[in-house]
Amino acid sequence: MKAFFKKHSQVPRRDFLAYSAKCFLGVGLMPHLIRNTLHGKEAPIGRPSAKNVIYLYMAGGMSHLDTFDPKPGMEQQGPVETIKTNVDGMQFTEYLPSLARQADKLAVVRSLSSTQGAHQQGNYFMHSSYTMRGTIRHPGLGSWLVKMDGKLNKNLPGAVRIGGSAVGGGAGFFETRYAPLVIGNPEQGLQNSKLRKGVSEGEMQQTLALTDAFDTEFHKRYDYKLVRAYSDMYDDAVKLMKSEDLKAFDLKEEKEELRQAYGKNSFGQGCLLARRLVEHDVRFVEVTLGGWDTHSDNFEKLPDKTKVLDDALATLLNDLELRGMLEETMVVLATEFGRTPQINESLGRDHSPSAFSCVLAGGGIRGGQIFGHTDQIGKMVTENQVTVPDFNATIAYAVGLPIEEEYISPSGRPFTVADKGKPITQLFS
Amino acid sequence: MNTSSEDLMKATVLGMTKKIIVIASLGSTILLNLGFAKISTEQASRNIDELVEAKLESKGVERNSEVRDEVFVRRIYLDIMGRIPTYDEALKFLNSDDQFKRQKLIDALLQSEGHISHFFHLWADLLRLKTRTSNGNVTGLYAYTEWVKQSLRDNKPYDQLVRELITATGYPWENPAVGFYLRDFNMPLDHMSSTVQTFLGTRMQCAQCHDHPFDSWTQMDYYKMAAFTYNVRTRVDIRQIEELKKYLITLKQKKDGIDVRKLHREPARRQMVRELLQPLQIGAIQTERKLRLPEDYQYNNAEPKQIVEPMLPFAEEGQELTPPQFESAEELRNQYANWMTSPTNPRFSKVIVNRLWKYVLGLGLIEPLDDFTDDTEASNPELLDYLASLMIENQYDMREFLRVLYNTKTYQSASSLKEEVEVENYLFAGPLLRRMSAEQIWDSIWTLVLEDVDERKGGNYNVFREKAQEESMMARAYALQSMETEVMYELLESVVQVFEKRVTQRHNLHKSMQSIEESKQRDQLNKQLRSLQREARKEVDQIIASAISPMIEEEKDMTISSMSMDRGGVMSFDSKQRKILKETDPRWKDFHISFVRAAELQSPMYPGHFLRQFGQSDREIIDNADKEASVPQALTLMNSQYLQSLIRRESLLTRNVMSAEEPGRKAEIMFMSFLAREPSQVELEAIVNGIEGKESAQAYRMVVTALLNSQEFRFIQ
Repeated sequence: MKAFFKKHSQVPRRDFLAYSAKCFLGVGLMPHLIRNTLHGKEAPIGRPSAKNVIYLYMAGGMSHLDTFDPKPGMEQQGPVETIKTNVDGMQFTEYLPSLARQADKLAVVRSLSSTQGAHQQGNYFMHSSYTMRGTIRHPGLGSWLVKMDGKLNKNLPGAVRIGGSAVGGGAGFFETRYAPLVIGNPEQGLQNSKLRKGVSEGEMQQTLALTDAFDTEFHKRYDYKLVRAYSDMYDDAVKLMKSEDLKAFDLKEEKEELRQAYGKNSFGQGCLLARRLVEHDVRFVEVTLGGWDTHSDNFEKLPDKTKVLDDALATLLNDLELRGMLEETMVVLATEFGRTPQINESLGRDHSPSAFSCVLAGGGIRGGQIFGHTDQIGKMVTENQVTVPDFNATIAYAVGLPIEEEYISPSGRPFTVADKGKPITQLFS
Repeated sequence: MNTSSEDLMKATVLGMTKKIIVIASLGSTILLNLGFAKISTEQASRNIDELVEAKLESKGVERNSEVRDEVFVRRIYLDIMGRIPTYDEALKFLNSDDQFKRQKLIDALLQSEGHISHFFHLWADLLRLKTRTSNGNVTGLYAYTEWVKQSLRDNKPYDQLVRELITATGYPWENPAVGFYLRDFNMPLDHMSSTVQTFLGTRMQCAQCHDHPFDSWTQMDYYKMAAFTYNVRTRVDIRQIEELKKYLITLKQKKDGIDVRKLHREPARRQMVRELLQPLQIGAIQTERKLRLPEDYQYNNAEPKQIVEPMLPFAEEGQELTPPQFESAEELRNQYANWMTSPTNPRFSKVIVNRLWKYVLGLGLIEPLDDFTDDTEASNPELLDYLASLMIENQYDMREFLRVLYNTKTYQSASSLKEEVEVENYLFAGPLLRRMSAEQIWDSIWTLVLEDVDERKGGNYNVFREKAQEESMMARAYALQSMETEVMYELLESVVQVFEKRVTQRHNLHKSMQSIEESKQRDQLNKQLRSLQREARKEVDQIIASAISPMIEEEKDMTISSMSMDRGGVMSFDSKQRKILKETDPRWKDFHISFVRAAELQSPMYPGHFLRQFGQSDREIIDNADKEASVPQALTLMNSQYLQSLIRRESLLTRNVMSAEEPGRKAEIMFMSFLAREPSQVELEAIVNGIEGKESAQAYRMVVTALLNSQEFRFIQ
């Protein structure tokens, strides 16, 4: 706790008290209001400003050499060319032409290092900051955020996951209501949120009135809050169905041009949906792009994969900036591990947890920087190693979560949001 | 305790005799010869009621009133069968004037297949049963799931069930119970703490990394305990299989300079291993492996990385704790299993009776179920002791135990609500009011829709696909295992040759691709690449099929279904097969194959599915189901496609309703179907007012939707 407060030594006393109350009570006591003061305009250097997070997950292990950490001239680079970006000294591969034009928005962390070399374990670790155990489930960042800091839109879920089936990233030991709502297909929006064909709003109203009539006797017999909670959920559901916010899920509201720019695939449309949800103050939206596990034919598979990523992420950053949302939205590009510099017999690359790249943008991140380095061929980290908990602590820091606050799980064990990782405060402007 | 009983206990522990066991009852030790008649169900139920009553009286509380038949029939169906009674079932019971009708119904339901489809979920949640691991591997877990169901169907004694799990060894097709270990593939330490938590209600997991902060466990205790089963490996080293070893050595001689250990690095051989030998790597094998302390062991009673000798965490009642004496790791594991499941293990019996008590009455006598410590006290210790002794006396017959509980007055009383009582002090004036589990809601919906719902087997598309994969994988592995060595060598060689051919062709194509700039031509080459792969697969499948199908046909006893036999055990369940998966039974032909009871579906279902929305456990950790209310649940019950199934012309509900002419009678059928009771006058009036001016289809839809969304539907009173 001490270290955390030190960074904000100029915080006025009143805010400090409010902030302490929040830390110790562990509740979202006027959450972002407090934080906004805390990290307000007058705040010192190293200022995180994120309110919400868009978390893009590259499932399978994204090759760092073929994307954000190229090694031009080395044999291990294979046939992929390196290109300049709009930031001096920062190079990407030719697979990311659009992102290269927006490198000034990105903080590229080239020195990630994980202890987990298998997909499931790596994925879990990346999402929860804890290694996988058979005896407990740890919450993902999104659930921590909603649990500790509350929702900002009471009609919509606090966290949403679009596509993928992450092993980590769920509610863990928190109550189910902190679990991300799962959207399978971004084009279809929120499941069952519309009345069935032929059912009018009036009919549903009358039907629910009928339900109320049937429930009268039951409620008399069991007049308890616990029982009422199950009928209260209908009030929330009906509110949601009628709410303007439901439009957040409707991609048809967007111009066709923009939809094309994001990419007419489920990841691209997922990113667009993520932007719409964040615009409606959903706190944490995860979008998954799978298929990065290129053990064979790496160079055949990557052009298609990276194009999807390049189109979607570049458009997303542009879109957020145009709408003035980049300051308050942190965009994260993460993966479970990188891939080996050595090209195997099947012209693929194998798992490399020892060194890989992830990217941060928005939410107070100073763009146009590279953090950390790998060796000549991208096999090991040589400078500023960042652990998975460090990386997640950086995200937690960006949204103002108390990263040292312990939360006691129902089994009586203490946990923190990023397992005591140290945020990389230098990344913020 | 006198000497003779001590001797007897030792004898039991050593597994030398099972005729005589010791039970602890009401604080005193009684010897019982099991050759004598067991206590009757009625007497046992009465004993329980008396113990509950004694507690109630001591606090001046009265038992809740006895439930009416309407409440009873719905409750008992939901509790034993995991679903509401059908219209016919409810009526049959309500109209019967047999004075023993409750008792008879309990007996009949406990013998039914529907009961297995419900009781299964208790075990699925407890054992964290998954039909596939999270990384998508198929590893004999369907066979394991089926084994658990069959054990319940056979009413296998609980202690035997646990012993069979702990001592399971072999490949899944030899002994499906190895799924118990495969479930925690490569996580032997976690597996141990889950096992202890599951069967002894004891949480040791904290001590995996450090001494337990508030309990007495040290990290050393943890490792000593883990040493009992650490010798089980979940990955079989195929180089240790005699026939394969020879084959690999032959290879080495043939091709100079190839390191056997790196053999798998060669692409063609690697593919061969993946296609053919991988299944042989998946099993629970007994080794002599020793457990070592972790590198960062921080206490000064031992050095890091030191070998740990096994030692039990607590002794059996009346016993001294001594280090186990054993000749082999197998014997050690057997001793461990015997200690765990011994009637004199102070926690084993109490944990299961407490769990089943909660299963029936909604709350344990000790809560939580799996966090027993030395200081734990039951809310009614005499009752807990009696239940444990009853379980032992009935030789761990779980069905009989459930029968006793369902026949108590305690169970057949009106329900209370958790909110009004302090959990630790609840005296069991009746069972608790409970929301249905996710599985109960799902199964109840299909009870309304489908005829003979308990008989519909199968599963969703993924179940068919994954089962076929698993079965064909096992068939292949089994065939390889039982093949003449020479025949196997030949088979392996010919498969390698196919893959080698493909590797060369691919290599050449890649070379030509690099020189081609035109994207059109590249596309063409890519297409060729893909078809090469398909052809190689086909060729390999044929080679394997022709080699092993005669063998599979010889073995009719195996657990391999006809589906994979027909195709010679070849793993190819493509989109064409999907079309074949059409329901042929006329009773259900109008309804999708995935509309079956939850026990038939994947375990767990995918996130976002109805079952998960309503809180089905993800089966990642023990007892992870929940019953919290959420908005998506309401949305699903109001707007989902499942509603359509209910109101379709072909649904059981609709057919029953349509059989009546008069509107009031129709309402009665609907209430009986959903709630096992007739509508009240007030409710009939509400319906009349609510549907005024509506067409009949719309009116029907409204009342069905209203009932489905009612509180009374989702609660078990």
